[in-house]
Amino acid sequence: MMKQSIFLFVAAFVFFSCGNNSTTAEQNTEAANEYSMVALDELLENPDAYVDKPVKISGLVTHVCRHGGEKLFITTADESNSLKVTTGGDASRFDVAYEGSTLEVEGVLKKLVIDDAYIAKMEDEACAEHEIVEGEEHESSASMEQVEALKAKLTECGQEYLAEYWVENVHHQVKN
Amino acid sequence: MKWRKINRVLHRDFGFFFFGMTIIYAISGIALNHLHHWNPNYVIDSRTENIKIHIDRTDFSNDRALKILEQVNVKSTYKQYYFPSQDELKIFVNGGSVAIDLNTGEAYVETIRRRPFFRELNFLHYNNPRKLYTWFSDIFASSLMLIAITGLFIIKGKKGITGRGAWLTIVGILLPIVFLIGYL
Repeated sequence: MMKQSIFLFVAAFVFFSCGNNSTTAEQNTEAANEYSMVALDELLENPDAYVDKPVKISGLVTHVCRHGGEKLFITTADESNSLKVTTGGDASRFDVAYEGSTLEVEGVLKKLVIDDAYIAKMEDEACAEHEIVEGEEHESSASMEQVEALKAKLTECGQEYLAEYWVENVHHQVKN
Repeated sequence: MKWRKINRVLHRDFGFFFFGMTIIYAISGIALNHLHHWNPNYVIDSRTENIKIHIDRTDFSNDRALKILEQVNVKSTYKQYYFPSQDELKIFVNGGSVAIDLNTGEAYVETIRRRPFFRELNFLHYNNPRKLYTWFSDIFASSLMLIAITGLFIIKGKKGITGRGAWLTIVGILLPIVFLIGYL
């Protein structure tokens, strides 16, 4: 009985282990890319020139997301502007201990276009959420507040859309 | 070997082997379900102090940052400071920060430490280790299906899958569908 048990267990384990043999191909491709160092101020001055390109940036970490550690913010040398960095590559989460440290990040600059269509979609989702969680006013009102804030910001800037930029991490290193 | 015996052996041994993983995922699952109620990864404490130091942005230095830390009784190792805006100064220390309103002199002292136990469980639940753990957790997830399916056929007769078990199984499948219809 004992032998049967072990045999079955090992057989089943091997069965479940089969069929997954491609994990490092993407990582190797990413590693092959060259990351050129860009000053954060320079990047934020003309971000469209770097969208979807590999960049290497460095800056003081001013905030790390407290819950999932999925994003952090680094500030420019003159502290006038900051950029979001999201997880990916070698970081599945950022440690809160990074706050106050200088971080060097190799990653890819991403862009999100926030136009009327995007805000309308967001508003629909916020309304649906409001219907679902009638008793939880805080959650639903927060989403609606975001929508209203974006609307106001879009009107204020007088352009067709707002752009949000961030760097998706591939490799990062704490410098001090 | 009869199929029912094989079924029982699989159910039993996979159940034993993945007992630990099941408990890890169950506990961290509850913790992550309540992210809007608490932070399972960090314990964050805060307090407010009033400081009596004139802060001039153009003439600020590490020494002055250290003096402020002394005044608000923060003994952790100093890291860096920065001015998020014209009216605010933030000083970082190991395991926390001090945010000062330059107009009122009010200092918001925040300390952060890793929450033991839950942080480790969530680390696994989120598959933060990746690499080999991805394989292991995939095997675990697949094994949960195996344990569930073999569990259907453990008991014979009217309390088994041909009797009461069938009704309980149907209700257990219908409930998530009801939630989906209601909330999606």
